[in-house]
Amino acid sequence: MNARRTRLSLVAALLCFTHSPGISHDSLYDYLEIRFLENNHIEVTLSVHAADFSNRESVDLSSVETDWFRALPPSEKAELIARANQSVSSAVAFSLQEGNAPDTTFPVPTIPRTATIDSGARPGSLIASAILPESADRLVLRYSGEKRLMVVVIRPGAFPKVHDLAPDSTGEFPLRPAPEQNTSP
Amino acid sequence: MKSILSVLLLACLHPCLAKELPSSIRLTPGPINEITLQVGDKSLAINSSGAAPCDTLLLTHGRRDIIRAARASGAQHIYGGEKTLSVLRGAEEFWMNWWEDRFDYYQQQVTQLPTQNWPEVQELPENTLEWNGLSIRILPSPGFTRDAVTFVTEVEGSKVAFVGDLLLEGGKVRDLYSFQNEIREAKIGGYHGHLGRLHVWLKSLETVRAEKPDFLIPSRGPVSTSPDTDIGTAIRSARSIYKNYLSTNALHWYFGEERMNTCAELVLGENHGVRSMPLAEHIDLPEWCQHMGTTKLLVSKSGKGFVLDVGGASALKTLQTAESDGLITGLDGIFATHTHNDHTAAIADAAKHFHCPVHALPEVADVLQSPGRWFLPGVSPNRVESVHPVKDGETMQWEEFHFTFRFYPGQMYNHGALLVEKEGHDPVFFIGDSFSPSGIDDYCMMNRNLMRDDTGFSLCFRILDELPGTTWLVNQHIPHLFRFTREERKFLLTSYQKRARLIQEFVAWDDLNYAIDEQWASFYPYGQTANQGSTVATEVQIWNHSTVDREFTVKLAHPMMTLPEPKTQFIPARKMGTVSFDIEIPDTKDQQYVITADVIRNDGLEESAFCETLIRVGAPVIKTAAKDAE
Repeated sequence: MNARRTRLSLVAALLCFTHSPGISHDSLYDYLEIRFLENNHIEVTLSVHAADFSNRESVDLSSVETDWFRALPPSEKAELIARANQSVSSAVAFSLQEGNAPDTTFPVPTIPRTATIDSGARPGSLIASAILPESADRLVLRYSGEKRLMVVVIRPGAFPKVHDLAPDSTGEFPLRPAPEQNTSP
Repeated sequence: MKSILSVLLLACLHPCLAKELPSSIRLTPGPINEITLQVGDKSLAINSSGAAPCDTLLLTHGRRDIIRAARASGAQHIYGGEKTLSVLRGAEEFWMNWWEDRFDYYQQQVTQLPTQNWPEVQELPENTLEWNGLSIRILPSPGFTRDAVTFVTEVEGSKVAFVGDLLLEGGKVRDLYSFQNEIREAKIGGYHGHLGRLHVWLKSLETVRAEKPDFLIPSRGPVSTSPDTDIGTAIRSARSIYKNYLSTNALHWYFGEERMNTCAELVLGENHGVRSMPLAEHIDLPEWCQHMGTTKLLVSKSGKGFVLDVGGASALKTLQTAESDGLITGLDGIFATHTHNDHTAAIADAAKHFHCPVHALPEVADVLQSPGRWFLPGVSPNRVESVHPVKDGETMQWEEFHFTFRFYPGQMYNHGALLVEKEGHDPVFFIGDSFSPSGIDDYCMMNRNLMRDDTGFSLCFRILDELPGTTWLVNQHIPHLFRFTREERKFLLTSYQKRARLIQEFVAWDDLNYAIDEQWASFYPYGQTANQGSTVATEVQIWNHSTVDREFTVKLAHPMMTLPEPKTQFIPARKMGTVSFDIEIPDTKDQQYVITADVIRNDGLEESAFCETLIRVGAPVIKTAAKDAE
């Protein structure tokens, strides 16, 4: 099988919940969601906490508010996203086949989209997303971030399956065939 | 505290000491020391001159009690640092915004801020203030507060440093909760930033120490006549406490060694020698327990669900999807472990959607039902209409699970836990956010992590010890079962007890809990609405953390209101008492009143304007600093 790689890039899609509460603890983790869509596609979404990349002293690092981000001058916003991209590039790498060298570069996003509450992405997060090729049968993830990574596998008709990756660890996630669903009544 | 205060007071008044201070400096001890410096016919005060007239007054920082004392001095010329001015010019706007900002709040800064603007205060020059032929150097000295400065000058051949609240005599500090702050270098926010300004404070101490002053004159307590010794003591004490904290810290689990090393290096230096406990044994959750963010869903064999916490719309959506997908037939109940919004924000919506009861310990239930009556970290304004309070130790059989509800004041005081026993599985104790596999979740002092034998983590450890050794623990944020070995528990507890002793030596109180519990005296309700011309009830709740009985006198204050006379309440040792007041609201519409309380102990200790309550009438308009200037 040819090596297949896919790439993520952060997009400036900070979630803007009008009445989103500040939930500090969401900054404890970065999140990667692997969502199996109804059309048989698999969407991968990475969420990182935006305030982590702010240089402004007025922005508390616990903050999941979005006003400060919206108010940033375009150049400063671009710099923040560049810092986030750089951080993610060095922290998250993955391949779609065992034995492949993980991809560590993240150029322009393949499918930028506006995050919604249904996406499961976290408040105050920058997100990157990509659709995996249909032929992908496993995702090998190498993670070396500054906090733990919560990997959430979301399959229709099953409870979300959560995997908790510590910094400097590797996780492998089978993509096909779909595993047996969780016990249900 | 009484004995300490007596000694401090005697030391202040001791004639030998009075002789040692330059004669042109006059210090009258009080809740805020009255400090004046006389040159010719002019006098200059530091923070307060009391009733004595003064020409000029210098502010070391902008805490509410300092500002009140400074205002009473009636000086013609008042100077403060740039950051202090920012506080003084935006005070009224802050409090108006605070009506809403107090919810979902995680920056965890002390709220002992002035309630009125003071635009007359002028900005200090950058380095030196020339006053009446005297050069007064201005040293930024943040740490205890963000805005602090120290004034250094030479008088009659002695070098004197007026340090405000930077340091008390003997190398002690007033409290520890004031140090809570984000640690930007380690990417740790205010909520998790335990003693987050400690490294800044240490630098400030070194800056003052380098001046080699003969006296440190603080705004509380006696003068330090051995500045170098006292500063050295303070630095050693602070570092010991912080090193101990890091060695048992829950955040190692989340943030890893690198970021915690950054914290350690900032305070302790490169060769800090902090050794954290290896991560406790942890395994995957059982199939009957599903992890959804900070929500844990228990699923019975029959397909029913029972959840612990519903922290947000995403968790609720996941629960609704589980129901619509037929993974659960519904929810039979919700247990709220504690009052942080990442655990409670969607409980009301979930209860409505699933038509199920909400269970919580009384300490949690009232916050859920009346969030505006409380000020605690991260309280959600989303009110839960009905909560079924459960008692500590109360049991309940749900499907094949046997529940025991526990009061569990770990990560915060308003906190519960749930022991779940099920045939064929080791007991599982859902402890909210109180431990992680690396240790203790005690990073935010505003959570009220009391260090007493009868409550706080001491009680949590005791409850753990009473459970079978095979019991697993579950933290709401962590998708694992974990458990400490007997040795690990012993290490955590003995380290914790040692830290309590270190803190006790570091603070100028008879009991360390006054110095780590910002809310030992607090209003209930914290906020309420009222009609103009009406009478509303409020009370000041006081926890006598002392190990002796005490009387507490509470005096309310507001610059424009007529308030009830002070009241005194006897409170037994280690007990909580309340002092109740009826407040008449003026017949003025659209106002917000910030009423403060002085709390005076019968041993002479007085905390001026220590806590506050907000009473809102109608819909007052926020007056911004810019508009104020117009």
